[in-house]
Amino acid sequence: MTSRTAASRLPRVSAEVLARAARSVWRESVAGRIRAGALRDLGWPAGLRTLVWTGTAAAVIAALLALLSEPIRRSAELAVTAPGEAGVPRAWIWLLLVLLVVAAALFQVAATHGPWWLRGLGLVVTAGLMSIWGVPGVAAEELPYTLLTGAAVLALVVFCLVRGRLGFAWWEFSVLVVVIGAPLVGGLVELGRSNRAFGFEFTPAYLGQALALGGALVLPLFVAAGFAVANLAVGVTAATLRQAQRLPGRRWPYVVLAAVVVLRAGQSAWELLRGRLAGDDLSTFVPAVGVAAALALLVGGLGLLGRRSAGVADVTVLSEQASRIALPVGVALAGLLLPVILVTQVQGLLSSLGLVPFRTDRFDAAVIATLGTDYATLVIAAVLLVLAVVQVRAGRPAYALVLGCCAVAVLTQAMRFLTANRWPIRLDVDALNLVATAFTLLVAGWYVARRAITPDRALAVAGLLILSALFSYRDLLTDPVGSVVGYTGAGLVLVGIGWDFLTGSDWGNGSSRTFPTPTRVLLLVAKLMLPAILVAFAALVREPVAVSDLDAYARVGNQVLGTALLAAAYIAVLQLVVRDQSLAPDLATRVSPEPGGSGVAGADGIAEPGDLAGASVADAWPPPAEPTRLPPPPPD
Amino acid sequence: MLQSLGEEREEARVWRTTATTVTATADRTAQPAALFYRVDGAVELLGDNTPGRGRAFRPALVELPADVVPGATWSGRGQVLTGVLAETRLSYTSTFRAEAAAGGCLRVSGEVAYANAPGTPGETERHRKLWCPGRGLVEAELQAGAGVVTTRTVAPPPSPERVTVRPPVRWTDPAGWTVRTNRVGTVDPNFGDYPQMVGAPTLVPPVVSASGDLYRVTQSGDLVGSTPHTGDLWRSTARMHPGGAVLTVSSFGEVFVVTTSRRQAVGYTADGIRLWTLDLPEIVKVAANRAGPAEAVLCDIAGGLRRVDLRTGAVRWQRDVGQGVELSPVVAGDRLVVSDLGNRQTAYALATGKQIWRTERSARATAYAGGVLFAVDREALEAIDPADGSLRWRRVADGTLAQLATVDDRAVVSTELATTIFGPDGTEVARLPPYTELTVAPGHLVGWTKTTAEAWTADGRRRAGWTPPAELFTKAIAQPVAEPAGLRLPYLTWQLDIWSAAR
Repeated sequence: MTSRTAASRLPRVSAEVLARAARSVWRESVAGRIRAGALRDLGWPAGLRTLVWTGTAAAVIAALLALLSEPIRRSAELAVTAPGEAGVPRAWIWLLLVLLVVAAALFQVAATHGPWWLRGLGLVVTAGLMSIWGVPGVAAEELPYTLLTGAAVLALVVFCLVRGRLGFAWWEFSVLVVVIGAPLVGGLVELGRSNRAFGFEFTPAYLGQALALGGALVLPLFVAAGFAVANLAVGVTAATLRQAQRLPGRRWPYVVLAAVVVLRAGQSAWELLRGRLAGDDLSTFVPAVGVAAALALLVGGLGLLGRRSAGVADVTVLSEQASRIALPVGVALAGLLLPVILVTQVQGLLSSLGLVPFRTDRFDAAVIATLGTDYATLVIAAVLLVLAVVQVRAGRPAYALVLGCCAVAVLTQAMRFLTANRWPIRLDVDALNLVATAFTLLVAGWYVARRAITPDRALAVAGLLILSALFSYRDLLTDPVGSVVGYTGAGLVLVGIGWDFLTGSDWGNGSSRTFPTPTRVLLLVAKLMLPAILVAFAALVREPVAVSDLDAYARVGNQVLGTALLAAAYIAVLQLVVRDQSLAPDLATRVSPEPGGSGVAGADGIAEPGDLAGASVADAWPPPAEPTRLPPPPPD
Repeated sequence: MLQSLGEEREEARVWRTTATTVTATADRTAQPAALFYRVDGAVELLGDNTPGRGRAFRPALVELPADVVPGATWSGRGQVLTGVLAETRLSYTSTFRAEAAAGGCLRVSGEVAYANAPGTPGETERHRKLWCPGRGLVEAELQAGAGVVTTRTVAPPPSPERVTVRPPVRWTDPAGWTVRTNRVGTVDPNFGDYPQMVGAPTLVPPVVSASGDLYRVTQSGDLVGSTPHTGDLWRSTARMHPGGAVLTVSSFGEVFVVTTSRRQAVGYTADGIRLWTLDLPEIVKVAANRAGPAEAVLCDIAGGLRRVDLRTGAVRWQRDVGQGVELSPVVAGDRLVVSDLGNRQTAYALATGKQIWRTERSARATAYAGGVLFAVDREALEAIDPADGSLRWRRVADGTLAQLATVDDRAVVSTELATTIFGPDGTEVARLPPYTELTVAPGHLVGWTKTTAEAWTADGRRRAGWTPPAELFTKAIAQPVAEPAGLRLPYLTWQLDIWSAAR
């Protein structure tokens, strides 16, 4: 840790130093994370690289379709299935289908060489996809298409059984494209005939159904993608803070703090005055204060339960910790849809059998589904809280903090339910952000009044305010993309899945008996492709809810995971303020304390020449002034 | 006619031409002249249905072969079926010849001779038609007996003046209403009456004209009118085909505005005359709203806002909201308020389109009554001053808000727990049971559950309750239409229930 004495000995800040610091921030928060998290060709089998490029190119095409959806719509004839729909450009349906077949084939190749449950899941999903298009009816003229689908599904099962015992081969993809594509082509031919007979557009409806089936698989990805902006904001803030605290000079931290205070105070005042919280009175802040209190309780509780030796949560590892839980939390939150699907499907089945009326007051699928969702939310929050306690007891405070904050954020989704839906209690994250800002200013004022505002404290407080400011402008990145695409959720999702693919694909670089490299790699590529196709479809039909409310899932991810990560980062930096600690400790004595953590090196744990937070004393500049308190030994 | 297609009925491409007599006042009894062609390759006349005559050709009469070239000749023979049950059969013999005409066109001339029995000559028609590439039929001349009918492309006649306002809705006391079941069918002077319709209606909400006729959209993209005929039978009247899929229909007295998947808005009179067609950059998913005695406002899904003259389709002004729009714009006095997908509300001057104010507000439904703009998000009803967009008051509802309606100067909001009527000052006027749908008329509202309906006065006094047949909720999907005397409930099976005071 850097003491005030040490800081006073540091030389003045020069432009070169600032440039090096900026480069370090870039390396640590962006380039390093991409280098650490991207797919790497580590002796891939023949053809795998081509498939990766094929899938990636298909995802880029899908993203371009989304980005160019406005001119595409304006120039194409629209096929509308039902009133209230915006219609899909008829001439582009084929491209969406081709992309869907490519994604399904990649997924199926991955599943074929995966564990038994993945093989089963792949068969169910792919056969379901083929059946949607291949079984349009049982009339005599439709029989050939139905038989074709049956034969193709049988071929798929045989292929999966035979090839599952053998190793990956590139031509499997080609075979599967034909097998999966045949019923789709047959279905299109048959639908072309029946469209004319009925005067009704079946093709867009079938495409929507097919994408909805694929979409159910990747809804968790949308939740996870929703927090990419928060993830990036926290990563950049933490890296900047650490580099800033290593810069020489005594006075400039106070100048920075003063500037940030003025900017953030102005921003907050503007938010209040221009009516960002329009229509809300002070009662809007009650839930926000309640959530802040819950977070304080959480920190206190975890502090009491945790090992003293574990120290404070390291803010630089929070982004990675949050990334680790993003997908599981996404699965859990998206899984909330299951009760809805189950109840409506069961009701549909029972009503078709005449066992229950189609609509009654006593058996309302929506009410039952809502109740199920609320209860499930409470269960998820409880599980996260238990995991947080387990992690803090194991000496992983950062992981515990992220899990705990996530539990509180999940709980906010069920606040209204906790009042039997009678109180209009709802968390306004902007109000929570304003509460955090007000508290930060109070803390700063307290230390200024006590003349205890050290350079490290000043920078840490500035970091807190910057976090609040970034959170306030979290739509800055996604909205421009969204406005081009046509609806706001698209930007959030496209940025999220792109960032996740670039930084979260390290799993694909490994191998195991159940998950060999080709399976891992192709799953990751399919994970990139399917959401991109869904976004493209939703953008082309100008309908956020066309295949599920993708936007809503991304917003839940932003609200739950994003808010949780930012809250955790806020708490971690606040602990530094209270303890007057620097984020840039002596490099020789600090190592990554937690799984996924990078300690003080770059986010990838790889030291770069000139990296201010390099892996050795020799790399570090400026050199540590003097040994100060040593961090506690790693508990793991 | 469709029987003429035989086994190819399901796949044949049929072209229907409709000619409507333009009169100064709407004539709902006038029968339009319709010709039905098969146009898969050749142009073949399947039949016609004109005032005084209806015929079906079996096989179809070839007017233009698919491989026709200048100098080509062709002939045909077959039967002509007429009468209510096609009981009268004539035979026909046709001969045609095509000659080159200017502009790459083809002039087709020929004869169609009819006979009551072989060897018994009957009427002979002499045809002269001019077909041009990309333009279709440009000129036609039909000589039958001493009369000659010539059809030419002419400038559209001036738009007929039509009433663009509806008579006010004044319900009688719902306690005295009875339920009458009607059917919509075909009444045709040439082919007879059928108490049923071909094709099915869609879920596009039906509309009612100033004269009380009901108009519904069919799955074949038609807008079909129906009017009371005899007893419990309603007969179909005008049939309009704007092209593409019909997305919305709005009624403005005797003028309708239809929006389609072809990114067009089309104006029609209630008797089926196409008044105008307006090309738009995007489709319009929310029904057009009245923006003056003879003006409507259209808002496309990309946020393009237009004030349009109902009689001519002329755009008075247009603005870009800047975000997608899925809620119908609300006319609030001299303002037009739009809530967009970017959680913003913007008010424009109705007369000029000038932006007056813009504020951030998330709205799932909006309505205007008594000088107050009402908006709901998931859990609160907000009363907004349309002058400056400021919030007058905010009331939190029990449960999650599902419905917003206005009755007189009051707002009615419904959640899964209760339906509440709020006065213009935010006072709670009455609390009613929860409803999934609300139908309002001055002084009254009808609340729908999934099995029952109840009528209330605007101050919360219950007037009547009904438990309709279960099939109403499965086959009608509750699309009640408020009409001056009560309610109309169109079923998806062309059944039509009328709830009103007994006549």
